[in-house]
Amino acid sequence: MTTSQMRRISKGLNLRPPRMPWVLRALRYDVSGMIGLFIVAAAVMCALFAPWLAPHPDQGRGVPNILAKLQPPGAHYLLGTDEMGRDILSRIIFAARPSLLMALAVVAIGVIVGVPIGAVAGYFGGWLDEALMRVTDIFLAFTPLLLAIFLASALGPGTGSAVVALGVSWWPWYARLARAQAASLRSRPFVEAAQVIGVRSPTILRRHIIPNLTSPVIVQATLDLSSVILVASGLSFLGLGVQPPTADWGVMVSDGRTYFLGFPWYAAFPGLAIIIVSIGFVLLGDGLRRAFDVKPTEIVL
Amino acid sequence: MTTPLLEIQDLRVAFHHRGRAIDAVRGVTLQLNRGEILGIVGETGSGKTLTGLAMLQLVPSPGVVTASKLTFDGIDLLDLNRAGMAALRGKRISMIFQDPATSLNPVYTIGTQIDAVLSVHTDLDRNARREEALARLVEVGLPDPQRVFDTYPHQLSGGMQQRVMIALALAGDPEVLVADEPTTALDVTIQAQILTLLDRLRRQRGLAIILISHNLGVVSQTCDRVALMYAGSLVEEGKTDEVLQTPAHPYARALIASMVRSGHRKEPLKVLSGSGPAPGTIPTGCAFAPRCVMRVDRCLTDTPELIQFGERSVACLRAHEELVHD
Amino acid sequence: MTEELLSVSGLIKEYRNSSGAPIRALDGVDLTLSRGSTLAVVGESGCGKTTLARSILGAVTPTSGSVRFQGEEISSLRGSALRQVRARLGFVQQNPATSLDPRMRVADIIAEPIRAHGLVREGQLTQQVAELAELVSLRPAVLQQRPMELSGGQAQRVAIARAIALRPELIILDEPTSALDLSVQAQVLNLLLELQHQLSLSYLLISHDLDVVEHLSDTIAVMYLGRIVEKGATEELSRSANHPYTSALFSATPSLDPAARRKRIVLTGDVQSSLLDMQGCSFRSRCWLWEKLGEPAVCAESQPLLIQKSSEVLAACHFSEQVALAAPSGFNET
Repeated sequence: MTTSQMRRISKGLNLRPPRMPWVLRALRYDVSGMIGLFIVAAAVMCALFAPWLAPHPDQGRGVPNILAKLQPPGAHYLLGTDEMGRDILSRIIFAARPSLLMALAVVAIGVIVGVPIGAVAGYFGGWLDEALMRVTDIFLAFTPLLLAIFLASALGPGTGSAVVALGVSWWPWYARLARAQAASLRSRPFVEAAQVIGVRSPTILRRHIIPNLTSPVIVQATLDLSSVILVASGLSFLGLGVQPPTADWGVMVSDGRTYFLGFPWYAAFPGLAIIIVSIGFVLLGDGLRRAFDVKPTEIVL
Repeated sequence: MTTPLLEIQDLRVAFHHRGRAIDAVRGVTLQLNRGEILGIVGETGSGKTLTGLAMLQLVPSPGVVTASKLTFDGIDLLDLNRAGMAALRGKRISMIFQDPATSLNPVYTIGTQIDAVLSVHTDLDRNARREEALARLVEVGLPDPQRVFDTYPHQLSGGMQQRVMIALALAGDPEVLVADEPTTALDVTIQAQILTLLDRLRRQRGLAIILISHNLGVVSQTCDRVALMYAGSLVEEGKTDEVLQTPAHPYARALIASMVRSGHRKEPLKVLSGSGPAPGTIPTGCAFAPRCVMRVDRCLTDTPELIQFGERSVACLRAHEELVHD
Repeated sequence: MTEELLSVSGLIKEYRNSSGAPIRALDGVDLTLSRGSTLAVVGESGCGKTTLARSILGAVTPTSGSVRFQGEEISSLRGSALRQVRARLGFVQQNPATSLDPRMRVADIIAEPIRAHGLVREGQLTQQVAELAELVSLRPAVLQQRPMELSGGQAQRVAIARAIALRPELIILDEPTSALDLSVQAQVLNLLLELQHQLSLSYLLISHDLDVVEHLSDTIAVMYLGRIVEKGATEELSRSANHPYTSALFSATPSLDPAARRKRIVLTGDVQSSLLDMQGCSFRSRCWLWEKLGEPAVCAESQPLLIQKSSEVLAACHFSEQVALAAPSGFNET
């Protein structure tokens, strides 16, 4: 019943429904979105259940197995082994957790810091908007890589400094997104209605502006997870992110680089993992964007 | 008797969306005669806009148009390929829409836009086209056509934009104009101007017009005949004054009875209770039955056909009782 | 004599256009609204009726002039004083699809004014909301739904319930039925009349739909380019106008009555063309009466003042007595 109620286009009410179940149902018909969801779900499963999914959990954790070093992909070690004899497939599975956690942490910082700043700037406008946006501009100037190198040298390399560096570079984008949305929401009738009722500004921001920002922010966040994984892998590749013996895909590609000419599987497979998961997030993000958009048939009728 | 210009029989428009079929237009039968203004009236979801779009084969995908007959001046529109239909559009049948601001291209001047239409539908050279374009602008009552020729849409008021739209639609010298809510977005005094213009154009050019609207007053004032739609079907059709003064179909009666009338200030209005079914959720039998005061058991199972009583058609299982009674 | 519920005097709102020239959205508006009655402000785009409503609600600060509500000057209030006044004003907007937050449940939408002013404890809130829903004839099940799941009529009723939540004395209605389907308009109009009676409400109705205006209002004020050109009792105004714009408006309103068809006055030009002509009467360039009377000079020399023409009506026209005589007779017969 809810599906057809939601199609009450004939009444001219054309609002995006906020509930997730609707979104999942809508995705069902969206092939690329489903593929994206699948890939992301697989990566999340790896992150959560690595010890049970990996064929050689100890090796995944980093326990060496020198006797089997640099084996090509075969029956026993599906994707081959690295220079310490550890099963690459297991390492990739275990690497999902730090990779995804880092990506999530960065995006979370971006959203938690950026959205409120942008929303306040967009809603109030005027000098507050100017001031906040200039601050945002300053942070936009930092390139993730340079900042990461700087922080690594100041605080010591590690996941922590990588996350901070990336987070600091990322939040301005969310601030801008939130500001644009808030500015457009400000003139919508239901916000005007709240003002006329006498609702205080902080409450308006909390109950009307921010909840109505979530759709574009979710889409952007999903797409960003893809970018962050790439950049974080890049940092790890440079030795600025995850430290051994913890594996993440970037580190694995970096280590595999030395052995690439004779033993290409070492770098190739983690590299492939990065690409596939990245694509997965992009497809999912695009699918979500399509799901959140108003359908053209509804407008016509 | 002359053959009708536009003949439609059992027109259906369905959307197959995500595994579900939504029947937006469910069997409409109409005809348009030369020089006539026919009104198609209905509320949101009645299917009136899609009916108009179907006449120009402009129904957007995933919509599918079927009909047992859809002819214009004897030409079978369902049989035409894209090129054939494109040749007809603008040249023989034209359309104008509700919001002129979004129908006109904001980055081109009015002159450029009319010229574009003329170059498609006529063989005139550049200077002749300009003369013709200016003549069109004069015809739709625009003051200072030379100036309008070089302006951009956003520099004109709503009423003037709508006049430009009409000029564009008539540039190819069509015989039929389909007007979808042409005055809904306009102020009431401007609306009066546009409706007067449409009537004048009808008389001067022998133009036949289909006026789609949700405003019974507008239809009453401009149309010779009116067709009332509900939930995708045609429920009543006939001469405007007859239908609006002595409606036969229970929906028509209830709708007209609920309208505000002068002389009864502050008195409670007769309400038509409930609300129309959303497309795709129409019950079996008569779509209006759940809200109908004249409902009997068979109304929930049998679908009413359009029955003709002289100049009037009504789709109601109890139609005989209505009209014989009247 | 007790003061009127709402009294606006000399209200002016000036803006600057892109070239810096001043434009007056409101050019000296005077109005009063008595308790328990309905005043309709009618006019077309650019007449200033929306700016007027916004000035009363405090969303727009007037350039000069006064707005007195319940005996208190409210035009210059800010901050918490303005919030206090807003608790006593209700506002219903045109389109319920956009005036309700799509992410909120109906119960929360209706409760919002009550929560905003902290007047009631959460426990009692449910009961208040249920009472309000009943007042506007909404089934209890609707309270848990979101705006998107409602029909147009239901949604507008939610907006009305929200507007009366704090039992204000005055409700401003901005085109309350324009966005609704025909069959639903009657429901909402009946509800508005009923509530007015039950709760002793006063309405300020902004509308361009003269049929609705005639049906709901006791007095009408007709606006053109920021000025009131005619105001008075609905009964009298609709029977015979005293300003050529008023008669044009009534005449242009399409009606189902075949007899009304022959007598339409069609104005030339539009509001833009009036703006170009700032000397004398602002309506002159479109005025059918001015043409009919042979273009009298006084219309180009002085802006007519709003003066009493009869016991019930004021009009701003140099030739108001001629309007009823010269106009095609009998638009909107009673």
